[in-house]
Amino acid sequence: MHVVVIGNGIAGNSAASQVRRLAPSSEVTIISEEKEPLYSACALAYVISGDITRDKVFIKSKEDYQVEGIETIFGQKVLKVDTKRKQVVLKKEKVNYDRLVIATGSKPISPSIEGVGKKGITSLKTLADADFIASRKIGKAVVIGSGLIGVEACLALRNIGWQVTLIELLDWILPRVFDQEPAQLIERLMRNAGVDVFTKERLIRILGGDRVEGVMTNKRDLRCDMVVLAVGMKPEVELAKRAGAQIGKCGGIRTNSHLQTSLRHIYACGDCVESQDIVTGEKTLSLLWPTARQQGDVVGSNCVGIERKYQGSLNITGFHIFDSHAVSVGHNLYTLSADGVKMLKSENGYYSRLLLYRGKLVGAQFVGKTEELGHLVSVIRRGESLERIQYLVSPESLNHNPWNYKLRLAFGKGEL
Amino acid sequence: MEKFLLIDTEKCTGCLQCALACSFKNESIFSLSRARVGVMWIAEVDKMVPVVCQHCSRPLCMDICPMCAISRSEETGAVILNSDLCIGCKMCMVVCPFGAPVFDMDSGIMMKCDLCGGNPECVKHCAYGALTWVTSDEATIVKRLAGAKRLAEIIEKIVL
Repeated sequence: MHVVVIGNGIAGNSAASQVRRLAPSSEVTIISEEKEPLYSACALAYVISGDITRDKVFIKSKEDYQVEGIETIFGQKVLKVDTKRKQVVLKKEKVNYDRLVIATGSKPISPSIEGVGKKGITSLKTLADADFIASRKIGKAVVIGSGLIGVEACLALRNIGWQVTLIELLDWILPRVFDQEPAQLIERLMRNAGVDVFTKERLIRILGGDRVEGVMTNKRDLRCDMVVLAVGMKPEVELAKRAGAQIGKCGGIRTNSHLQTSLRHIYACGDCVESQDIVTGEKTLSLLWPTARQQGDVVGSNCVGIERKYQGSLNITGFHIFDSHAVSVGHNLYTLSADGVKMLKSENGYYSRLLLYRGKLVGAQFVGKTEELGHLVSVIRRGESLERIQYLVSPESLNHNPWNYKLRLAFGKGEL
Repeated sequence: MEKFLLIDTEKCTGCLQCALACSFKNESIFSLSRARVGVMWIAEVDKMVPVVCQHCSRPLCMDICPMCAISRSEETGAVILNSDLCIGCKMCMVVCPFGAPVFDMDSGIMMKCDLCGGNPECVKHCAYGALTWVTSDEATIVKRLAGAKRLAEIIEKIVL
């Protein structure tokens, strides 16, 4: 059997490795437009900030693929998928498949404003972007959009001496990840480190001639030498769409619980997929590393006929703000804008906020100290009811499990 | 045959020999903050509980690691960390329910139990037998024996 994977990100590689492990006699080929072997996009900000060297972002070398027994076709674009002939059509060749895995990932959203084509404008998604940023002379940068990538870009650039301004359209930074209060706490930490943060501001146009010289917002003009666009990512579904796969309403490839697309013998995993939220059960986009990796594993199993269901995605994001650390797990008031969400808050040395909804823990946001979070992640993932948590933290269930002990620290004050 | 680190909380005195042995073996220093194993005192029941990586079957730390630095050792079955790949983002620490991966302030990366490559130092230095290194068969027998003993005690108390 020949399994062909389109996309050389973590989803595609997880799928390929899983196939290798489970069916050693099968053939596996990864096709990718990028020439580099697998690298971690999550680590790009670390390269810019100088915390790690460029060569450390690579997870695999080209030889690693050979050792693992995975064929590679790098630097070639897939023109189309011929589902009738079960062929992937490239510019120079055609590759037959028995099972196809689409792991085409996501691409940065480009805002439709004047001047986005100028030199000196970049996003932070690929190694090429990081190389571009690293090659620039240190000066003034404006980062548009305060999602995780935007914030990480700000912090990394500030770390190496750039003057950085962050522009966010909505009321507070990281609006999809943190609620107002913790977000403002993070904002304060960023300001303290010298990042200018402007919220509730709309980018009107990018100024300059051939090269970027500044940006104009609805409130001010800012001079700068570089603009980092980080307004969001969207699933890359062009290829799947042309092959005839159904696209979901969130804009990702629609799959069943086994991550099979609407097309026979074709699976999809990673950022390009619309996945099911583990908390609400609703369709969602979870363009995050662990989601991609878990989906890749599931797809790899299913390709070789070992049936596995995908459990659903849980958003877990975290980052360093200089000496501090912030983490958000599951939902926040923005992603779960429903009535009846109850909040437990504590500001005892560090900030923590737990969100409860319909008798379950649905989200946790911590700033400052984040090591006491793991037990909550498992509570959210397992969808434990509050009664069960109450029982676990009550004196009746005093068993000597460190997990229970930690739960007791979080919930033992009878606030549930 | 795959072996397990079996923990018997009844026998633990909280002497922390395990933690000191661990840090000395792995970091060449006697330092509790650089040990991969710790002992927690649970006040409500006045019990000492050694806490160490559980080497979960599908660990979240492995999935969340953005550098694929955490993998399963084919030799020992342990969930191991490749410190050359680790960038110290702390996400494994965040998601672990047991607090097994520890952030090392000195090196800026994580440390976690690797079962000493199949010969755990902590076990050798546990004078009370709270930590033992046993095959799965032995572990089952030990657990069954303990259960049977408790059952026998209860039966003894039943007055017919």
